[in-house]
Amino acid sequence: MPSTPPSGTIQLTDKAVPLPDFVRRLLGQTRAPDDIPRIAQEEAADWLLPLTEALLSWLRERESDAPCGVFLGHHCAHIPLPSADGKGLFLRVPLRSTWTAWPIDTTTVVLVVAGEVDVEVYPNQEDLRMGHPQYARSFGPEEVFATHVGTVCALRSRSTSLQVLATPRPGRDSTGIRPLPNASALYEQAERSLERILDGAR
Amino acid sequence: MSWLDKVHLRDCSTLREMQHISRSVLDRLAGDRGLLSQLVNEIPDDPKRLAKSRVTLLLNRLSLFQAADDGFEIRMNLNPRVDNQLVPHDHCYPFATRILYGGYVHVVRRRTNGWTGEFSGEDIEPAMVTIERPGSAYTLGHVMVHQAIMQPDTVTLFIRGPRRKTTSHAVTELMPPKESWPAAGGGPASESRSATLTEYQDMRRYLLERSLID
Repeated sequence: MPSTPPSGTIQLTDKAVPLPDFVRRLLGQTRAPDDIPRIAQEEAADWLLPLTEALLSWLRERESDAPCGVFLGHHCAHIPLPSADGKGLFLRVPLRSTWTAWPIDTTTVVLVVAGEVDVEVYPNQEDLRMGHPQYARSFGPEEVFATHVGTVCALRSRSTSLQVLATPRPGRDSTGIRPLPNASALYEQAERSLERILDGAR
Repeated sequence: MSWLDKVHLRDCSTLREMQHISRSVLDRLAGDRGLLSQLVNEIPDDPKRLAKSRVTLLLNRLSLFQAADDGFEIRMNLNPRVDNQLVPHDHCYPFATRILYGGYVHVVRRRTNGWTGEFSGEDIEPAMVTIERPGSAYTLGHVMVHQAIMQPDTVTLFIRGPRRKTTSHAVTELMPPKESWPAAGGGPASESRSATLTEYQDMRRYLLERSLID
């Protein structure tokens, strides 16, 4: 289960980062075998630039001296983002491009904003240890996936990658995480990546 | 002869290896319109590939290439039956696929009653859910259960890997009704049967209309 966020450490602006509506449907999927999120192909395109603009706007407007709640986990830094409807929302910035096990203790939707993310799913922990996946896929910009509780998976985020993670509730998984007190370089790195996306689209 | 004759998948010991090889094959073939067209157009001249081109309860498929060592087959899947897509199922083999046209929501489910034999709707949990669009690709092993809820005009390239088990399985209570299974010439309906020459020609026309082949 997600742990409670440390009280008083995350101060966000009032401006929530808007997500495509299909994220809500992906997060709401139940275990019923006939429950499939209905997502039209048109919905799955054209969300990258609005999201990039919103992220960049938030990064530029945030108070630089405010406590930020950034934490490290699974070779990535996670920047908490303002969310409109009580979801957990994070900008994930890889620190190393290496395979790492990713324990899924709450449904998580990943929106790839930049770079590439490789994901593998395994039947069990032993197959994870042996490197014997039963599902493998690479995700690039404007691609999205959801992982569900109990999935044994590993991921490798390329160093150029930026991802937005959404979870049903605020908080974060508590496995192998630690706070990152000084994140100014991280914010600058994320800002530059987002600017490059917008420059490329012009 | 083509560059496909030099591809070998039989010796892949892990899905990771298969993903590595098949991804490059699928990307190259998707960009080789000449070879893709040739492989579709020559099916009537090859009785084996015509017999392996099939009409199934889930979709139609063309058999584009059969490896000499029987280690893999390349197929083109098209004409999905949108009302029949809900059934969670597994396969006897690992496969890799790349979307050429259309797209779908793909649900990969993990089993909770062991990784062999039958399963019901109670024995599976969602693991990975993706939105597949033209250009996206993935590789799935024979033990995973999945559902691909395709939009009507979806066309995909598909590599069937080496057979890993004798029987595939599906959630019985979500199997499409027999009335929706393909029948031909007044014969009994079956889950899968060979395409007729007329059906092959219809499939080829479908691909021409979407400018996927010449």
